[in-house]
Formats: sequence, structure tokens, C-alpha cells
Amino acid sequence: MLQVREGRLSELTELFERYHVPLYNFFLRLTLDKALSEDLTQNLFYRVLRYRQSFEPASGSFRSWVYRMARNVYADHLRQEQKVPGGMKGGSGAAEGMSGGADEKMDRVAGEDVPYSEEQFERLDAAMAKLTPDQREILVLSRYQGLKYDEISKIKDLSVAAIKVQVYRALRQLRTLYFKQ
Amino acid sequence: MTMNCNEVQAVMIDYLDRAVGAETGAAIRAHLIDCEQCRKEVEEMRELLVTMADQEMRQPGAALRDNFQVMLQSELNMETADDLLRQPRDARDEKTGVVGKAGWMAAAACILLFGGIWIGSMLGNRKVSNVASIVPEQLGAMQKEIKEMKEAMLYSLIDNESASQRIKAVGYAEEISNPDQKVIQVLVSTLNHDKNVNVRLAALYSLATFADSRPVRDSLVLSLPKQTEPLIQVMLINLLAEKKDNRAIAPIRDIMTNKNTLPAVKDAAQRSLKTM
Repeated sequence: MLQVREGRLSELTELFERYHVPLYNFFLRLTLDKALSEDLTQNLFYRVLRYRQSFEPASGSFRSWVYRMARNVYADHLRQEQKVPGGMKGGSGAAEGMSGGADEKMDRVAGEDVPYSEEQFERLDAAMAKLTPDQREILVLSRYQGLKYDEISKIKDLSVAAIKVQVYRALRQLRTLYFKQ
Repeated sequence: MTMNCNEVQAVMIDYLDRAVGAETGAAIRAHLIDCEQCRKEVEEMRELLVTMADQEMRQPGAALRDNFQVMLQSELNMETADDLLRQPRDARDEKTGVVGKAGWMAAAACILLFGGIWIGSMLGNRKVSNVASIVPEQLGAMQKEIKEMKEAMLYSLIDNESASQRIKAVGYAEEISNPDQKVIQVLVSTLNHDKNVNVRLAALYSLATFADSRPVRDSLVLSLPKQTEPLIQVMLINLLAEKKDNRAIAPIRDIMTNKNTLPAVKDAAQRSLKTM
């Protein structure tokens, strides 16, 4: 029994080591808020610990399962935010706030001697922030988190073909926003 | 094979990800030579995807890992407690050796969690001295001292803002042999009111070790209707059923008939009612 316990301990620690940075970045790309993203990552791992028995290897990879849960954590957070008066009003509101900030930052650095790539990243962040929450999420999953189409299809309960179309449309929109700046 | 603009757009991302076959790739390139608009889109899309791929992941703060470790330890402690509670009573009586081992496991978990190597050695001494015959007054004095120290730790940490510190506090309580009414009250109030579920579970885990005492069970029976967290409900139900406390039957029935109760909790409630 002690070995089982030791086994669980290292197994779960390993899961944390493997997934916590990507998942933190998943939340960070959606919320653009470091402290909040750490809280959400912690909530997520709490749920992973609590509900790990409900993971069925037959119905998909652990990765799809954990991202599914991550989406729920984020959705719960948005619901809670909406209940708090004066709190931020969900993804699009947060995104607008951030895009304004990014624009300002860009204006500030425009005249200075900054590396080209830094400026590109800031333009990209500003463009990402102007997407709808759904578009932003699908790009975070497929391009930043590197999930495969069939994994995203399991996470979002949509067909692979539908996911492909969504990714393409979101990228097209992002391209328009990125290059017209 | 020739392709029109729509067909090229449909596979453009796969093309840029190098996920199309040789023939499709050739057809796309042939189309791009003639179509300026698609060429521009592919070039811009490529730049976009490269920039996205170059953006590095950020590292979260170190506290995230620490908090996870605390969470993990307390979760595994709960599980150990749960396993113990699930063991049928007669099986336990027959195999006291197993219980001894499991008890040690729980103790080992606490020692890990609370990082109290010193306390660990004190606990160890106490166990050994029960067997060996050391001068009784010395032993009594030492036990009293340990008890006072643990109570002091409990009261000083229980109002701490950090959940991990409060779990620590509750853990000290569990190690106090023959806790007084005040210690029990602190644990019960933590079980019923702490805002962090891990802390509430840790409090229940500690209370479970004192569940043979009637006043402790009084509080647990009263606490049952207040709980909404499934795991706490299950643990409480199992614990009270294990102790055959008939006063728990009515609140367990209520939980079973409540439409908000999770199916797993209902199952546990039903099982436990059969044994009571």
C-alpha cells in the first residue's frame, strides 16, 4: 500500500511537471493576467487530483481530458466574474482592455530601438486580443498549445472538419488584424 | 491536378504545416504561381504562423509548484483515511497488523506534509517508549509538553491566511492525544466554515481519528446536513456508518433524496444505510 501511495505521489507530480507550464500559458493567453492564470492553473490541478478517477483512457487522451477541464475552469471563472458587480465582463472585455494596453505599449516603443521580433510579438498580441473569445481559444489550443485537430475535436465536442474550418477562419481574421495595423 | 482558390484555401494551413501529400503540394505551388491573391495570403499566413511559433511560453511563479505539493499531500492523506474507513470492521479487528501499517502510513504522510522532522522523532520516541519501560514521570512530562506545543501550533496557525498553513494547523490537532473540547471545537468550526475545501477535508480527517468520542460524533452528525462538497459528504457518511451512529440515518436519507446530490454520493449513502 505504501508503494501504491509512493507511486501515486510521483505519478501525479510528474503530471504536474509535464502540464503546468502549458496550462498556465493556456490561461495566460486567454486572460492576459498572470496572477489570475496562476490561480486558475491551481484550481485546475485541484480538480485533476479530485476527479482523476473519472478519466477514461478509452474516451481519449489524458491531454484532451485535462484541456477539457481547463476550459471548464475558465468558463466557471467567467461566470463568477459576471456575478461580481464591477468585475470584468468576461473574455471580450478583458481582451479589449489588453488590446488598448498593447497599442499604448506599441506607440511607446515605436520610436525606440527595439528588436524587430519584440515588436512583431506585441503586434501579434494586440491582434489576438481583438479576436472573439472563441477564435482566440481555438488558436491558443491549436497553434500555441500545439494540440492536434482530433484532440481539439474531443475537447470541444465538434467534428475534426468543423475544427479545421474554425482554425482557418480564426487565422484569416488574425491575419487581417495583424497586417492592417 | 489543378486547384482553384477555394480548394487552395481549404488546405492552406495543412500546406504551411507540411501536412499535405506531394501531389497536393505541387498543385498548390502551381496555383500560387498564377494567383497573386493566394500567394499574398500564403506568405502572410506563413509569417503569422512563424511569429506565433516563435513566441515562447512564460514561466509561472514558484508558489504554484509549492501549492500543488501541499494539495497533493493532503489529497493523498484524505485517500488514505478514506481507505481506512472503507475497510470492514471485522477485517480490521482480525488484521491489526495491517491497521498498524496503515496508521503508520498516515503518520508518515503527515510528517512529510508538515515537514516536522523534529516532531516526527518525538512521535517516534513516544511509540517506542510505550513499549520499552522508561521512567513514567519523564514520559508523562514529555507527552504533556508535546501536547501543549501542538495545541499552541494549532491555535497560532488556524487563522492564517494561507490554506497550506491552516492544513498544517489541523494536522497538529490530529496528533494531540485526548484533545480537549476547545481543540474539537476548532476542528468542527474549520470543517463547517473554512473557505478552502482542502482545509475542510483535513479537519474532517483529523476529527475522524477522534470519532470514537461521543461529543465528536455529535458534532459530525450536526455537520452532515451542512456539507455540499461531495467528497466530504462521502467521507462523513462512511465514517458515521462505520461508527454505527443511528442519529446519522435521518440526515443521510435527506442527502439521498436531495436532487442536488451527486449520484456517487447517493450510492455511498445507500450503501451505508444498508449497514446501519
